[in-house]
Amino acid sequence: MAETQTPSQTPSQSPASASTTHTPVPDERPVYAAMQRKLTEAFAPITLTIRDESYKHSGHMGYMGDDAETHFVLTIVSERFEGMSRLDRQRAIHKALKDELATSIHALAIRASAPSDTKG
Amino acid sequence: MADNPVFDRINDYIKTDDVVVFMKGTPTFPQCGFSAAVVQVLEHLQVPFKGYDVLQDEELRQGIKEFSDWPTIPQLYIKGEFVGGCDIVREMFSSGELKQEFENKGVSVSA
Repeated sequence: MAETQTPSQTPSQSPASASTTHTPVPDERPVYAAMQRKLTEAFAPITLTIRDESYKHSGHMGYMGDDAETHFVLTIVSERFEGMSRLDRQRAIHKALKDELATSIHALAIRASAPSDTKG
Repeated sequence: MADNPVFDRINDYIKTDDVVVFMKGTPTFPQCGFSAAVVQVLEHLQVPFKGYDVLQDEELRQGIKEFSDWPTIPQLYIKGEFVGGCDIVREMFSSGELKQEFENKGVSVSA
């Protein structure tokens, strides 16, 4: 993860200067973290990729400031989607992310598939 | 459900035209990338459709979400039946299913 550290050093005790290199971590991205947690709980996904594309929409309608998490692209593969229609899969995802969709998320692109989709 | 007055209007819209898109902006000037993508697909298939701009109509904007049980715009209807939003339309277009869907429902497709 980070550079080599002496074993005695605790990673959390980072010097104040470290704040100049701002790397987003889940703690600072509550929406992302909540999405990941809720989708994992609801679908036990084989693959789950959440891409935050909020930065691409700077100044655009729905944009809520530099740190706002508003635009996401979601790719999810789960066995739970087996036998479900596209509408039902997306509805299930909408339901799992109900709170986030009602508050922070302005745009969410969803690609939901089941393992058997790719076969044949 | 049925006591929402906007639902009557929506029912009229989706019965009047074979292909209806509830969108942000108009087919000529979409105001959102997702709405633009759906318009693009329909234009590519050369399917005549009617667009309703939800940005001009707050009652419709909220009403259609409830009506379809779908939280986002755009929304595509074919012959009175909800097909999906931008992701589903794009996926179905890529796989050829959308063209098939139009043909199955008796909507002529040129492309």
